[in-house]
Amino acid sequence: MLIQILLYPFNFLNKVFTIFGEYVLLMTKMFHSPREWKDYISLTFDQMMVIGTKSIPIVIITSIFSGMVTSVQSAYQFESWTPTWFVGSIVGESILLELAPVISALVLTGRVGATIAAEIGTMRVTEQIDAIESLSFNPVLYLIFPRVVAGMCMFPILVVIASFFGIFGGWFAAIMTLDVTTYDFFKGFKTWFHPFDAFFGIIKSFFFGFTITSIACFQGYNAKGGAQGVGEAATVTVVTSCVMIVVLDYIISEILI
Amino acid sequence: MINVSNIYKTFKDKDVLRGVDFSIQSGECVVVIGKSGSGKSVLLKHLLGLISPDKGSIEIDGLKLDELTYRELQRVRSKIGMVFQSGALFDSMNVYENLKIAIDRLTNLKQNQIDDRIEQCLDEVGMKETKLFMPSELSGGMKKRVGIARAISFKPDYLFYDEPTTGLDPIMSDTINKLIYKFNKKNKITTLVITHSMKTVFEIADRVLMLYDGKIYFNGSVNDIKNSKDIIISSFVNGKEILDLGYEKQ
Repeated sequence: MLIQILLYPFNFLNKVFTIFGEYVLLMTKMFHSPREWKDYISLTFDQMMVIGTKSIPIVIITSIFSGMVTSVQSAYQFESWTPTWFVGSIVGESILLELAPVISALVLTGRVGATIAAEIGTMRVTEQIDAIESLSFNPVLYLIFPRVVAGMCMFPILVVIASFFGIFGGWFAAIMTLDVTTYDFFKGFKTWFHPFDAFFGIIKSFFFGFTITSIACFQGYNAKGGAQGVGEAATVTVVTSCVMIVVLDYIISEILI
Repeated sequence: MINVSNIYKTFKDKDVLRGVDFSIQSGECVVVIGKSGSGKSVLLKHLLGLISPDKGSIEIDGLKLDELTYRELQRVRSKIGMVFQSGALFDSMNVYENLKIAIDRLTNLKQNQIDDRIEQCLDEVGMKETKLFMPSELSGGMKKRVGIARAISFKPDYLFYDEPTTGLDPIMSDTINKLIYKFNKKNKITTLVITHSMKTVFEIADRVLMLYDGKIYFNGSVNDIKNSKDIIISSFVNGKEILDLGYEKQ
């Protein structure tokens, strides 16, 4: 019993590295046959619709409220010592650098990641992936390639939308509930704005898009058993993706800022 | 022709296949029987190249599957129609699309020819009226018939069936058996069927293989298996448990 407890961390690490190795191997399979990519381009456009276009409403709602909350809370922090036009600066920088990419990614982990894991997991346990393979399709290119590429293409677009609506939400809360004019808000916004800030969120979202979709595809592709296995794949996808988003957020910030 | 030479497969600590050896001649209908968990489906997945054996080799039309590149393996697979236990229809596509994707991928037919082929295949399995149905709207037997239609749609040289009559009512089972027999005899498609059902064996098999303890325990004709005095074979054929479990209906 004691030996088992002592060995637990090593077994756990062994398992983590094994899973990571399997993940890397699966992802590299996408690049084995680039000549076949053209056969799966139309599926990629379908996935762009599912992952991107259908996620726009949830991204707009969450980003508007993120902007509004940031606006109200920053005004509360300033109290009477700081000019209120600073609210525009705080909202702008927070939304562009952090809130739009990270909140959108966390929301999309549930909206996109869990859906992909459940969909591919169900295909695995109902032998549909075997059927794809028996029809001479490459299942990695048929199922994983379109989703991952669509994720990498659409997440930056979603973050642009989130940034726009986040700033709109912040401005709306500022003029409606705080004593800030539109002129003051955008004066503050422009004061600390650097064009790189806008690109920074887009760069992050590209990596978030890859991370969420690839983890979801990996978990779904390796789902075992029946409904329980599919549920587990979806849960692990959400948990792992959320952790990876905050880890990547830090790493990318360290490298780029 | 299919040649399986001495294949072994172990999952974790369980030896599922322990030296399986057999061959199937062109045009033959071979039925593999065996208890649940005896490795029948694993054997079938080996033949499709979905699983590689730990030892031994599988040859299809003279090509050793384990020596092929992925593209070559895909070419071999394109000669095989597979009917899965659950039908394995793509649930995001309707019946028409389920057949179209196979024909599109594995033939060079034009759109109007594809439509004709789909009509013809669905007609052959008596499912013409379900062309626009989604898989979720079909019963188990209907799914299997559409699965058969998909498997024959690209005119394969081989047809593999994984437990085609499991979970079906006796009449639907009979229909499926007749379809398997028809495609084997009329279209001369080499057929391999995995089943528990002795009725299926008696109705369609040219030859029967019995998997037991990871090996081919029996390889012979339908008459041979019917008349076998071996206790393991006869208990399976007659559906009788060898062990006395202490209760029997009076």
